[in-house]
Amino acid sequence: MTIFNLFIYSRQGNCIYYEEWNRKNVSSNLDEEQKLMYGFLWQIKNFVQKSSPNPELEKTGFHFFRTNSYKLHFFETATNIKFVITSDPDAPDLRDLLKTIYKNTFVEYVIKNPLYTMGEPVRCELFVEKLQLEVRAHTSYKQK
Amino acid sequence: MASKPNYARIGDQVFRDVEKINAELFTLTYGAIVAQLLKDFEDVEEVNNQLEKMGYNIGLRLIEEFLARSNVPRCSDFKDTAEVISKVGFKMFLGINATVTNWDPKKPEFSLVLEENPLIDFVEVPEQYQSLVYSNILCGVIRGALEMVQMSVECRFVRDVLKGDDASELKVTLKAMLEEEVPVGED
Repeated sequence: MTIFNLFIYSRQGNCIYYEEWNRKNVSSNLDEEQKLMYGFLWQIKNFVQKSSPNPELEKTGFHFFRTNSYKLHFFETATNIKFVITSDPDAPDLRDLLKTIYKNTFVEYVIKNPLYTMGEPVRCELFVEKLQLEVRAHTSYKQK
Repeated sequence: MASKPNYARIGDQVFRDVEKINAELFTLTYGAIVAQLLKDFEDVEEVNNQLEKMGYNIGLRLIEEFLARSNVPRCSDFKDTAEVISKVGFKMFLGINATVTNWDPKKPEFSLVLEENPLIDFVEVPEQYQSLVYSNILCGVIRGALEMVQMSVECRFVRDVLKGDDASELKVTLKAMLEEEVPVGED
């Protein structure tokens, strides 16, 4: 099993952090890819919510999707910060990992960092360091 | 229908787990900030504004800590939000309980009554600063935090122990629900 990449989006919809690990296809235009991903998330979220018999309950309805070659996990906070991680298709639900990243790493080292401006790209060394530890220590992270 | 979560219990739980600091240090530090602002701006109204603004900036970030630590589920309505602020929010960050009263579904709006307020321990407001809203930072925090969860609110003190009232009361009015940011090229 393995983990491919991670996206974090601010509430304004900008990709504020991107990291890749064992990614096999190289992106030709990362910027475009990140925008496309946000558009996709926005659409599917709305679709999921609108098609529900009870739209009020479906605010966090979309959790993951899976294809033959990968699985995409999605976690969104009530403040609309979005965390996305992709892994190989047999990985278990990685939303717990995303929640841990949010709680123990993102809030502690980004939000509480007074030098960080909200909504700007994340360039906090400590955050990157802790994030690497967290992801690499996870059971789903193992190079094939 | 799922039964309502017990917010008081969540509040106690999260209060037990968060890091604490010395209450007197906290109170005195806040007092020093207010005193310095009064010196710097010399205008009481301006100090009220500055306190609100400082609170707002705190609220923008504090909400993330709140959501990450408290694990409260999504609020179903504004009344639910009021309960969460009073029982979990105030407990978690100030160690006190607030009571929700004067619920008015038409606006909608509610009041938070603070029986005790750690910010105002040892505080006496001098005669010439009677219009000072000493704890105005709290209004800012609530406004900032709720804005991050798509609620634009107005928050102000209507009763204040420092002005001789028997309790402090904050009035929170919902102005609008904000929409999520639409991606570029979509509408």
